[in-house]
Amino acid sequence: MILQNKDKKTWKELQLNPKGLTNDTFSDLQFPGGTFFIDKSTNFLINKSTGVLVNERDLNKFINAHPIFLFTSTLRGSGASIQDIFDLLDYDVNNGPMLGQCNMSFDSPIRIGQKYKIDGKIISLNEKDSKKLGKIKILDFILSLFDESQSQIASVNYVWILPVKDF
Amino acid sequence: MYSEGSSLKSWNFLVNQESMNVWAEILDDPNPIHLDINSARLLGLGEGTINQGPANIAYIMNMIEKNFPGSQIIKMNNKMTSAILEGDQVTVSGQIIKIQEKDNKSIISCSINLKTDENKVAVISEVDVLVL
Repeated sequence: MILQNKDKKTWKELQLNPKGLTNDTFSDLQFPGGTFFIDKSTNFLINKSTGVLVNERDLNKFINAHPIFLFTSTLRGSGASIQDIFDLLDYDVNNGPMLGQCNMSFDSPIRIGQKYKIDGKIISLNEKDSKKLGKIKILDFILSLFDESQSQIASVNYVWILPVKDF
Repeated sequence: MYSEGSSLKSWNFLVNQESMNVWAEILDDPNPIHLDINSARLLGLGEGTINQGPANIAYIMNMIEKNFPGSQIIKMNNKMTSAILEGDQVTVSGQIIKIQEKDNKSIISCSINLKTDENKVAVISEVDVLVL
């Protein structure tokens, strides 16, 4: 049974006792929300670790951040870390969760030196049998990035594959 | 300058553990498959640590920037089809599918793949790029 909105518990409330929650509990569950600052040193690390050679002396010339910051900012600034998400789902990270899909849209570039607000929600958590992985859970959620004037800068829809040993 | 059906310049990268360590920290990602070869092996994922998904997507973004310098990605749909392991030499390649002109700007739709040196497709992307 899907709970009515008025009966829905918040992320923080569910976090207090995440054992035995049904998959429906997570439908439309809002992330706590938070902020993320785009700093130039992390931008440098992202570029370097993905094979883009940037001279450290040129760091101050960059205005736009690497667009993959949409990924890092939403996952670091949603108010719940990756571990927090797994804890809420009562999921063991040692089972090897994987990114299945990631659909991104950008209304504007992400800027270095800017602080962004992040909001979003879990769309669904479903179970299925995979030929390749056996029993899996599929976590579908969306997170969006807003600037200080509350304008949406970008949004990302994640689908994570969570292999499980037993339901 | 750009035309529908034309191939994009490819982009290569050798995936290494040092970069995966950086990504684990940047993402605050506790998943041991990125850091511990035994963890990946026990889960049957292969004989190497598994590269983080966002790093794979970032390679595709780098290829876009190489082909369309100063452009802006406006939409990017990524499907992860296979794992990239530490030590894999990856190649990003693709082609222009469609070009729409509007107000002296072009929206270029591309179909892009990230493959390993064994020709295993790891990411399939559809990308719309705004070129001024």
